[in-house]
Amino acid sequence: MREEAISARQFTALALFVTIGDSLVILPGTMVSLAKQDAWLSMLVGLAAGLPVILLFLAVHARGAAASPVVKLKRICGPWFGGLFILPYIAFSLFLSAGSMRILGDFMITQIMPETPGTAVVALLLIVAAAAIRGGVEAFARAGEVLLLCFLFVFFFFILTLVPQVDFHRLLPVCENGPGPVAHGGLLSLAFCFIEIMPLMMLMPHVKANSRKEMRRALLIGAIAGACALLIVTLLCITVLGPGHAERHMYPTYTLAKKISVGSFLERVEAMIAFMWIISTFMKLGVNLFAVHLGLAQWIGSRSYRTLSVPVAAVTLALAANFTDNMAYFNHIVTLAWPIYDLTMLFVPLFLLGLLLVRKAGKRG
Amino acid sequence: MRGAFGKFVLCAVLLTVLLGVTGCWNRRELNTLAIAVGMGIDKRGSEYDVSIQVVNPQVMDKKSGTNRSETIQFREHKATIFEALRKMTTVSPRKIYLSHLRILVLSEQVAREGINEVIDFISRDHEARTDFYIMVARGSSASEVLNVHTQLDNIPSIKVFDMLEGSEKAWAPTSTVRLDELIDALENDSGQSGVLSGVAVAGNKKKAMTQENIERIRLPGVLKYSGLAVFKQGKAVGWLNEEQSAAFKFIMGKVKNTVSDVPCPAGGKLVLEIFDTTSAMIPKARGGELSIALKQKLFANIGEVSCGIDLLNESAIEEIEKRMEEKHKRQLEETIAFVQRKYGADIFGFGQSIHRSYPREWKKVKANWSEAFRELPVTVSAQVTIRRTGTINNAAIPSS
Amino acid sequence: MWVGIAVAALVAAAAVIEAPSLFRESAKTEGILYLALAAAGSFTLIGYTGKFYSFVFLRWVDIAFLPIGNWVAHLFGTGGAS
Repeated sequence: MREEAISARQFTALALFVTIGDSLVILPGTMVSLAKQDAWLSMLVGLAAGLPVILLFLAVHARGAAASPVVKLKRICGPWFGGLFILPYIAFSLFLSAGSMRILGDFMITQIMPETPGTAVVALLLIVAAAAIRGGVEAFARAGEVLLLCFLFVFFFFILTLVPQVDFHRLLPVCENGPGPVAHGGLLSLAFCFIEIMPLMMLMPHVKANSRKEMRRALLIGAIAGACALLIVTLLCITVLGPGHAERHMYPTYTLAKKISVGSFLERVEAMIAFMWIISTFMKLGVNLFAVHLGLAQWIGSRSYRTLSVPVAAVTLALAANFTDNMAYFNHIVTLAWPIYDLTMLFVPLFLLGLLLVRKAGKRG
Repeated sequence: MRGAFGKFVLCAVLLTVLLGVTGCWNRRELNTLAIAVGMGIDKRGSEYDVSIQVVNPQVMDKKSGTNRSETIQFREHKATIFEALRKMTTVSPRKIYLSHLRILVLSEQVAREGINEVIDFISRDHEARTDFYIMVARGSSASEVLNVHTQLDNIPSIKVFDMLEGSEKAWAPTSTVRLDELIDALENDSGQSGVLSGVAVAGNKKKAMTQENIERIRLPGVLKYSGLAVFKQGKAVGWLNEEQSAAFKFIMGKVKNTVSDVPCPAGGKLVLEIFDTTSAMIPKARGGELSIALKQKLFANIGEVSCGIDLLNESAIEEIEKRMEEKHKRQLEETIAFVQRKYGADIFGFGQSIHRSYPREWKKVKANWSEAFRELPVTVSAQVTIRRTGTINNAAIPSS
Repeated sequence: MWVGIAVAALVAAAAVIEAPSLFRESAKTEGILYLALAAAGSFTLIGYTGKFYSFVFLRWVDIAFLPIGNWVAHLFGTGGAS
């Protein structure tokens, strides 16, 4: 079979979608609940802390032969010892898939279709995702490129229509409660936007970049653009809704969309805005699922990563359905435990980078 | 999955799934909805008495000239609003759909006993939006307000909505309040203070509720905007009259266009059309003493002259400007003093502006802000600029 | 519930078609993995082992990381229940 290839531009689009992903739904609200009107500073803190993380991913990719982290781990440590790192990595990607599905499902139920079982919403998206896996990396990346256009269109529409309602006074006072809450919000954005890019590493070997520089540019531009988009949305949440309002609403970005009103004829477009989230969450889901499939296939050494698409989708659905029944518990986990889990997962690329550096030094010596 | 059989099974399965997913699970067809445009909340004992005004689609179709009413009112009472709404299914053949709500009317009793429960329900509900106007019925029940037969627009709720929206743009005393603005005002460091517009049935109340009301040229009873209700701790504590309501809107910097009369130097009156205003609220903390400075800039045209004045004379224009400045300053100062003294409710958002500029000083006064607000020194300065004198210069027929 | 059963039926149908061919092509590990995952997913979807799943997915994250999360929240002065 021909090697599947992604262009650098398509990779940028994927990076942007993974950064935005389901964060677009939950991050502004949770950050505002921690840092109040300083949530936008949190986003900047997250970006500052996230750049080294992205450089770490790039460094792991650049060392050794062009292969995915799973292949590298297996080659250096063997399938069993390497499995100690591969399995958590695959599980992480799987949990992220299920988590983002659950977030989207909950949103649809709460705001748009309260009597529809969440499982049905999630199942439909997963069927499409399974089809995407069968279509392969290349087709998926191309879809990303096309969807990016739709996404950007809706996104700019969203911003432009809200600009008249912006009141920058709502950003005052800056840093009222000291740097602590800002830092906690920053931890959240670091974890949800940047560390969760990790599954994208599995697609890096497919990128047809002419040089390492081009690769780095593609990933950095995608991630930074995604972070900027989230920064803008967070700013809009604060300056249009006010921190108190944004904090109380489960999905402040959706409430924001409800406020769009241009000359009292361009109104009630929030469902269109929801489309934007479905795109970004779906793309993140796709990348995570690709990481699961590619990872499993490379680990057990099978010829095709496509065979497992149906059972993996079933497990993802089962996980999403049994996530938690209780929104309060969910919010608790999201703000407190999940970012720490994300952070600890950094041990996989760190360990791998250490191995690669040691091996290189050994070869030279 | 090779082989024709596999493909066949897959196709069959997919087609079967297709049957189940073509529609929306939560679908509600237009003909099964009762579209609510107005909602009134009264109190009956300790229970909420909820009235809903829904449009009658058969009558909206103009061709069928029936004499049936354009709207239908459903009414139920229960301990909470949500229960009352659900109980309404026992009288309404269709499910009430709240997305197109235009007005929410609260009776004065509900307002006085506290509006927090109402706000919670209406913002928690996934159908309701935030773009409807909330008001307090003055001198009548909320249900009666929804019952007034109106002309020009046959649906009372839409009539009230349009009236408020139009008046808000052209008449300073009228303020509109949407749900999000109300919540914003109540929660922003103000001790849950805010305002809601008042609406009253003017004229013959009994006739206003009947079809007879719209059979005349001069309507016996009309719905009328009447002042602002002042809230403190989420409860209505009193009203602002027309002049005070105008002052309030000037302070909030929300006046888009309005008119105001000024006494002429030589007696008689002159009317200014104020077409642009800017309002700056500048908090100060000098030596631990908090104060607020309001700086108002008004731009006006001369709209009506009923006195002898030479408008071609620059000093006459300056004189008018000065008189308007004095009047405006007095009006604002009196209103602020009245609200401070009588209600002690920070409806102007002074607390919030202090919080934003002086977070450290704010922390000290936060706990007993409603007391500190009563004592807060406020200085007002006004600057009026007259731009044009209309299409003629001096009075058309000079009064002697 | 009904959605779960419908999806489980779909998964089972796919397994009937796909799994035998995997064994035929002597891709044994994949075949076993396929069946195991499909079974695990479907059982949960028709209403069994949900508790187990929520543990696998979330409870352990909660148990392992919540204390640290709370400590972090305490450090940053953003509260956090014990």
